[in-house]
Amino acid sequence: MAAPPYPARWSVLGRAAFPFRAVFVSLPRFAYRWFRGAPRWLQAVLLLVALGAGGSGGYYAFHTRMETLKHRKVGGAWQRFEQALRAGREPEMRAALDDVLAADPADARAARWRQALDTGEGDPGDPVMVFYTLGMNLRQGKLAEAAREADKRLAHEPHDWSARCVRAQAALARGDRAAANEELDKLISADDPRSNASPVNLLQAIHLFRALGRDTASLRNVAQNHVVEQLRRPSAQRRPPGEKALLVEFYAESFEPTADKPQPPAVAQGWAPAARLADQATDEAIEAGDLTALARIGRAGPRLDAGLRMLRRHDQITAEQFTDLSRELEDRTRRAWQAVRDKDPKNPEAYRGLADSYWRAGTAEGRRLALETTVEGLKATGGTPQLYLVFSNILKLLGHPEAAWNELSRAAEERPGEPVLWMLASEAAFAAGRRDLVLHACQKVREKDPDNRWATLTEARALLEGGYPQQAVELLLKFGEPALAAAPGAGRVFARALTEAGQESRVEGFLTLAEQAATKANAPEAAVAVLVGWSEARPADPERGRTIAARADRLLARWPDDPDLYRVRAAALFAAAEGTDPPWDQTRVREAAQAAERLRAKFPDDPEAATWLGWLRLAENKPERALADLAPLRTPEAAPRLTAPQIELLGAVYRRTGKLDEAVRLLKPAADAPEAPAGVFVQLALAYHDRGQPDEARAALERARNRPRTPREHADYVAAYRAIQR
Amino acid sequence: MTRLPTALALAAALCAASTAQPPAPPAGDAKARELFKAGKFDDALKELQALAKTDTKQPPPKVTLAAWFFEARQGPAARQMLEQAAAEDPTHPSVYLLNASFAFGEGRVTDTILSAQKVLELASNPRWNPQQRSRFLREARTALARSFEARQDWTAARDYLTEILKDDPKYGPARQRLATAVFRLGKPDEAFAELQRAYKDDPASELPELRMADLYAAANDAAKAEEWFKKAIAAHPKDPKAVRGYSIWLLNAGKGDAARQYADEAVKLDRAGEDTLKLQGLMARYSRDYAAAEKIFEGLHQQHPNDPFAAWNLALTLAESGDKEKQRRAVEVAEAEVRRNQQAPEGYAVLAWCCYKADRLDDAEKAVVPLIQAGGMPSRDAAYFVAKVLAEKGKYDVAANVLKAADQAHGVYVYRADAQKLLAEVEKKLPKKDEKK
Repeated sequence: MAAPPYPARWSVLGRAAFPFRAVFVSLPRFAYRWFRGAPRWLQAVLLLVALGAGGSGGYYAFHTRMETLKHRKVGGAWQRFEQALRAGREPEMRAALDDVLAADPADARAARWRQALDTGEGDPGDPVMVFYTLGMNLRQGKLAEAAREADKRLAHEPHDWSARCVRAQAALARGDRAAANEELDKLISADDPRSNASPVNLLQAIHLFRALGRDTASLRNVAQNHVVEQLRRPSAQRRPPGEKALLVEFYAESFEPTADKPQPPAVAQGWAPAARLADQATDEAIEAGDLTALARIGRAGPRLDAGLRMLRRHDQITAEQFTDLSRELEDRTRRAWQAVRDKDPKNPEAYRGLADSYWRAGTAEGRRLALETTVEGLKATGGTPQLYLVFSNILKLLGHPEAAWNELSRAAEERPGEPVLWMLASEAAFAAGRRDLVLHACQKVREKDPDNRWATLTEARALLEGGYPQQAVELLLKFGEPALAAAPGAGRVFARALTEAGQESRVEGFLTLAEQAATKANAPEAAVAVLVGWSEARPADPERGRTIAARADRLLARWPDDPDLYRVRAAALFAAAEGTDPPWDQTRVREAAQAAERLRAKFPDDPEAATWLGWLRLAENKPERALADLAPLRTPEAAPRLTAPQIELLGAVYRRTGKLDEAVRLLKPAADAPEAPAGVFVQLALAYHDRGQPDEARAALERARNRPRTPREHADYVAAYRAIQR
Repeated sequence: MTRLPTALALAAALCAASTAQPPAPPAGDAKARELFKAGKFDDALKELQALAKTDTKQPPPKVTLAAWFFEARQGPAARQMLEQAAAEDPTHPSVYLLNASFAFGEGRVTDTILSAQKVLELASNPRWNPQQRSRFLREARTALARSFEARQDWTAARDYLTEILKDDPKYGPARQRLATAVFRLGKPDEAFAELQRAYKDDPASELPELRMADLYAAANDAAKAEEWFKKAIAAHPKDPKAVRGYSIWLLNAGKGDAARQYADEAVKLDRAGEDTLKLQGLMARYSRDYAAAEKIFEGLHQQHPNDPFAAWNLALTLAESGDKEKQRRAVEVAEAEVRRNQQAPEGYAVLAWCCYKADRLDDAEKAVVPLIQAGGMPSRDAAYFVAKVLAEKGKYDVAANVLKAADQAHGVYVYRADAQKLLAEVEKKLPKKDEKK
C-alpha cells in the first residue's frame, strides 16, 4: 500500500484541503520559480501576453455589463408601454416610449410608435400599432383616417370586425349606404375567432345595423349567447368600470325588441348579474371620475327600462319585482348622470339623461323634475339645441307646445347664428297647430340661408297640411325628384302632395325612383315613405288603397320584416274596404282583416291595427269578435287617449253587443265636443233608439245630418235614419 | 338665457298645473259643462283650457264659455267673455262665428253679415288645416245664407248655399234651402230638381213634391200647392208623409172633411207614427172633440215630454175641457213649457189662454206682456188668445189691432169665427173717430 502524499499527523481538514494547496500554492510557486529562471526575452514576451489578455478581458466585461443594463431598461419601458396600451392610457404610453428612446435612441419601433401617436398613422407592418391608431382616430372623430387604418388592419386580418365596422361607418358618414351595407355583409360570425369580435365591436355593429335599417337579430343572438354568460363570470367583477359598463350596455342590447314573445331565459336570468355589475361600475366610476363609463351606464338606462317592461309584460318578473327593479335602475341611472353633471356641468347629455329618467317615473313629480332639470341644463350650458329639443318635447308632452314656441322663438331671435333653434321652434308650432308660426320660422331660417333644405321641406309640409298641395309640390321640386325619392321624409311629403294636387299619375314614377334608391341603400325606408305619403293623401280613394297594397306586397317580397310595410299595407287595404260605395265589400273586408291580423301579430299593441280590426269585424257581422279585438282600446289607461273615431267604433261595438248603457256613456261626452264627427252622433242616435229613447235618437241624428260626413259615415247615417224611422 | 328664470317659473307653474290634470283628458267637454252648470265658471274655463291644450282643433276656451253663457241666457256675461276671447286671439274665426250667431239671434242681420265675412277672410290663414278651414267656411257661409234669406236677397243666399254644397254635396238641409232660394227667384223647375237631389242624398229631407207644395202654399198659390200635394201622394203612395202633409194643409185651409179622408189614409199607412197621432190630435181639437184630442196629446206628451207641440196642444185641450181640475193642470203644463222653452212666443200665448180659461185673468195678462213687447204674434190663434185677454182687461184698441193683423195674416186659424166675433165686439167698444176728435 503506497504512503499518502501528506504527512500522517495532518488533521482531517488539512487532508481535505491538500488538493487546493497543490493547485493554489504549490503550482503558482512552481510557475513563479520557473518564470524567474526563464530567459529575459521569454519573460518579456510572457509579460506582454499577460497584460494584453487582462486588458481585453476587462474591456469586454465592462461593455457586456452596460449592454445588459440598457436592455433591462428598454425591456421595462416596453413592458410599461404594453400595459398602458392594453389599458388605452396614451400619456403613459408616451412616457414609456420616451423611456425607451432615452435608453435606446436608436429603437426604431419606439420611434415608429411615437410617430403613430403623433400623426395617427400606424406602421402597416405592425398590426398592433394599426389596431391602436384605428381606435385612436375613431376616438378623435377622424373617420376618414380611421378608415385608412382599417384598410391596413384588414390587410393582416381580413375578417376583423372592428375594421369592417369602421369602413361601414365611414361609408355611412359620406352617405354611401350601399358601400356601408357591403362592408357589413362581409362580417363573419362573431363566434369565429378570426372576427376578433368584442363587446365594443358588437355594439358598434348594432348601431350601424340600426342606422341602415338592418335586422339586428343575429347580433342580439351573440349578446344573448355570450354576454349574459360573461356577466356571471367572477372575472367580470375584476374588470375596470369602463369595461363593466360596456358589458351592461351590451346586455341591454340582448333584449328581444318585439313584444309578442317572452324574452329568452338567458336574458331574463341575466338581469340580476347585470344590475350588480352596473352598480359596481357606477360606484367605481364615480370614485375614479370615469365620465365615459358613467355616461355608458346612464345611456343604458332607457334600454334597460324598456327591457324590464318587456320582462314584466310576459310575467317573467312579478309586479313587485318590477317596481323594485325599476326603482333601482332609475336610481343608478340618475346617480350616474348626476355624477357626470357634477364633474362636467356643461355637459348637456347629463341633463338630458336625468330629465329622461325623471320623466320615465310617469308621475307629476317626475314631470316637474324633468322640466326643472332641463331648464337647469339650459342655464348651465348656455342653451344647447340638444337641451332645447328636450325642453320642447317635454312641454309638448305636457300639452304646452305654445310655451315651447315662445321660449324657443325668443332664444332663436336672440341667437340668429343658430338656425336649429328656429327648427325646434317650428316643431313646437306644429304641435300647437300653428302652421302660420311654422311658416314664420321657415322664413327666419331662409333669411340667413335662402337654400336651407330643412326650411324648404318644413314649409312644404306646412303648406301641405294647411291644404295647399300644389304649392308644396312646386316648392319641393327645387330639390329634383331623384333627391326627393332618396330622402324618406321629403319623399313622403312629395308623394302626398302630388296626390292631393291632382297629379297622382306621377306617383308611380316617383315610387320607382324611391325603390331604386332603396335598392341601392339596401334599406326600404325611401320606398316605404312614398307609400305612406301616398296613402295619407286625402280624400281617401279605395282603388288607390288597392294599388298601394299591391306595391307594398312587392316591397315585402324583398324586405319581409319591415314593420312599416305591414302597417301601410293594412291601412291601404282598410281604406279599400271602407271606401267602396256601399262600404264594406265583403271580399275586400276579408283581405283587409287578414292584413290587419298580420300587423297585429307583429305588433300586438298597435292601436290602429285594433281599430281597423274592430271596424272589419263589425262589417263581417262579428261584433263579439270586434269587442275582443278592441281589448287594447278598452283599458282604463287607453280611455283618456281615445280619439273620436275610436270612440265611435267602440260605441258601435258596445251597441251591437247589447251594451247600450256603456255605448251611451262613452258616446255622449264625445258628442258634446265642438268638433265631434258625424259618426259619433250616428252611433249615439242608434244607441238611444235601441234604448227606447226616440226623441234623443232623433235629436242626435239631426246633429249628424248637419255635419260633414265621410262616405262611410254617410252610409251609416242613411242606415241609421231608416232604422230609426222604421 | 336672460329669461331662463322666467322660463323656470313658467315651467314650475306648468308642472304644477300638470299635477292636477292627466296629460290627455277624455274627449268632450262634459266635465267643463258640468262645472259651468254648477256655477263654477273659473273651473269650467280651466277645464276647457286643458282640453284645448291637448286638442289644437278646439275653439278658444272663452268662445265655448261665451256660447254656454248665451245658451244660459246670460247675455252680458256671454258678450264679455267673447270680447275677452277676441282680445286674446283676434284672428280666430270662432270668435266672429259666435259674434255672428249672437247678432243673428238678436235680429242684427247686417252685423251677422259683417262677422261672417270676416270669418271668410280669416279662414284663409295658413294656420288652419283643411278640416278647420272647411268648417269655418261652411259655418260662415251658412250664416251669410241665412242672413240674406232674412233680407230676402235670394240671389246672394243662393250663391252662398251653392258654395256650401260644392264642399259637401250631400248636405240635405242646405240643398233644400237652395231649392227655396231658387224657387223664390222664380225657377220652380230648378227648385224641384234640387229638392229631388236633396231627397236622394239625404233621406231625412222632405219629399220633393211636398216641399214644392209648401213653397206654393207660402206663396199663396193654393191651386199650385194642391196640385203638388196630389203629385206627392201619387209619387209616394206608401209614404205617410205625403198624405199627412196634404191632410194638414186641407185642415188649415178649413176643409176638415177632406182632411179627414187623408188623415184616415195616413193612419192606414202609419198607425202608431208620432206625426200621424199629432195629425189625429189636431183634427180632434179643431173639431172640438176635446176628449179624443186630450187622449192623444196626453199620450204624446208622456212619450215626448220635451216636445212643445204635444205640451201646447195638451194644455189647450185641457183648457177647453170645462173641467176646473183639467184647466188647473192646463196652466201647469203651459207654465212648465214656458219655463223650459222661454224663447218660444207660442208658449206665452198658450199660457195666457190657459190662465184665461182657468179664470186667472191677471196671470193671463202677465203672460201676454212678452208678446206685446215683441210686437208680433207667432200665429193667428195666438193673436186671438192675446186679444181675448186684452179685451177682457179693457184694452180694446190693442186687442183690435192684434185681431186685425191676424185677420190679414196667413196660416191656421182655428178660432177664426171666435176672433171675428170678438173683433166686432171690441170695435163696438172702441170710441168712434168723431168722439176722439
